Amino acid sequence: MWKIAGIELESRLFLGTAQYRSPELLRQAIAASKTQVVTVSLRRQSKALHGAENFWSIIQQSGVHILPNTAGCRSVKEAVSTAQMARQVFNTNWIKLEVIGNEHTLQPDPFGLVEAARILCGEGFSVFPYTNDDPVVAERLLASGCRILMPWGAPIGSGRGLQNEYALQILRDQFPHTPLIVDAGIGAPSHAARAMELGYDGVLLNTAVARSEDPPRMAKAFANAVTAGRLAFEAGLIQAKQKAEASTPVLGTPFWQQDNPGSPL
Amino acid sequence: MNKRAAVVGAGVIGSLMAWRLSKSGWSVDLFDQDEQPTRNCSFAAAGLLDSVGALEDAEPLINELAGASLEMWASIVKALPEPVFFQRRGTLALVHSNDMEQLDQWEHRIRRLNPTAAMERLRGDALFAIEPEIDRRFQEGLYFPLEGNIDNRALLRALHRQLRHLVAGMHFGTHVENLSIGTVQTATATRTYDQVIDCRGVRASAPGIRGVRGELFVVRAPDVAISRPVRLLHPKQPVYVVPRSKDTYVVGATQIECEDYSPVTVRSTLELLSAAYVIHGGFGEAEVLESVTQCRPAFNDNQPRTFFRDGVLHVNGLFRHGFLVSPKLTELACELLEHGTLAPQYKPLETEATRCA
Repeated sequence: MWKIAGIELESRLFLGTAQYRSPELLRQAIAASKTQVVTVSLRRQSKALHGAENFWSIIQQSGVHILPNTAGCRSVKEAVSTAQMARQVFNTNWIKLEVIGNEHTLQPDPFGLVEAARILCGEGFSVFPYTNDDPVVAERLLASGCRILMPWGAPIGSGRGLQNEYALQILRDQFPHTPLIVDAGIGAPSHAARAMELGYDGVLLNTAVARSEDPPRMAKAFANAVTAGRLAFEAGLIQAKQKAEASTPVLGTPFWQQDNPGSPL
Repeated sequence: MNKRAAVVGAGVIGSLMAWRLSKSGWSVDLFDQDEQPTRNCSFAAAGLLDSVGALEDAEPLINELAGASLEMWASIVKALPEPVFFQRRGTLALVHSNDMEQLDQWEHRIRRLNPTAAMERLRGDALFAIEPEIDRRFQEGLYFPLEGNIDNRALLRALHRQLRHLVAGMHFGTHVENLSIGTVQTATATRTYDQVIDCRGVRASAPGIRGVRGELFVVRAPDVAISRPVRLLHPKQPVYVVPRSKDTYVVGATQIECEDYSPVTVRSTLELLSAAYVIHGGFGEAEVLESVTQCRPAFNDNQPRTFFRDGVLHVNGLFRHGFLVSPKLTELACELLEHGTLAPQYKPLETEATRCA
């Protein structure tokens, strides 16, 4: 059990709902992932709120918490009004805040992000900001009222994994009590496991499951990887070393083998 | 005396059902709410017969139905009294160099699901030998030599004209208020039949059916000479340009999860038409003849279905694949009607979709 934005959760995997080949595959993937939080994009469907009952009901019937997002918003104004609309539609003050600074790389715009976060936190939103891995931006977001940070692993949809583990580690060390979730860029379960090993509180991903050949199976793979990574973090990873260290004590090994460094221990 | 059937809905699947049943001795009444059925999903389609390429986001069953349907279209078109534009000159799929992985993934998925699929990777001159006028920024693509396209509107018109001679009654412009086992109720009459067949798509009483919005454009582009359908892969949705009759092209189509018929948005306009413009600069001077919004009928798994429910035969959920699969699906629905069951490999089509609303 862990807690984020006032809610207790078992699962540390957050799942996106876009790009599935069918709503049925989405439903199966949600079930297989055992996720308890899914993120939904309002922007493209804003006009569809009354026409997409069938689609929404699949998500609602899966019994998960909905984290609306402002995907694709490029200005503070656009992101803020999308968040306000989402609050009404989904009856939640949660918002995954995206302010995109570059259409091609989908990099977050840190300046717009901080400003939008300040406005939304002031309005009582629980803001989950999609940010880069810069600790200064992270500090500003926290100063704006955010209680959660979601740094990227790599550009959205790229599936490249954690591009700057060092920066992610610094964030973790610098903000030990802030829930940190790696959002974007996860391509393989091993990437998700690695983020969890670093001590991150969760991972959020979409494309890696939705566009895989078998989304429900991949969702299960990610669920296992996130659990494994978290367990590893809690268990305490050993430090990597420069040299081999025998797991079998040398004591009791015949002396002629000790003399020969090339022989198997 | 002949058995009597009512087919409700004169889109591509309803029209083919009426045609097929009439030819095998049924006395058929065909109903549609429109005087000229031009407001339905089939009329709005592009007529792209991408039997292999559809595997990008469809299941292998679609591929199988589509392959059989392509062969059947040839004989259907031949049997019609007037010419309908239908060609099997292949189709092309292009990708921006930035999105090359998408083409790789697409090719990989198709190869995995159908190792013998007719598909070639083309580069540079080999690509331009197929379609000389496409923009030189595209250096790589996939060619599907056996795919084709059909003028969906001409086909529907021709089919309807022939059906007027074949069926017992054409009830166009007639709203069906209610249908049930053996009866069809309109504002003015309740008629009885041996079999009622519901082909109304989104408006059908089939459980779990939803509408998926799609938008497309019809343009006239005299400066463009592209002779086969060209798709441009895009992270969100593939955009295609499908040649119709002389100088006319269909540019489609968005796919948005909502049942909404309001006019095409600016965003969709920009996405679709800029993609066409990238494929061929000549689209810059094209005239926009039409912008079309429709909703495709789909079950939750986006697979078509034919099944009995309370004595009514349903054929529905053709989604983006109406023209792609309807000839074979018609055969299968008739098989279900005549024998009460389908061959084992087609059983998934008979499964009633679960209701989710």
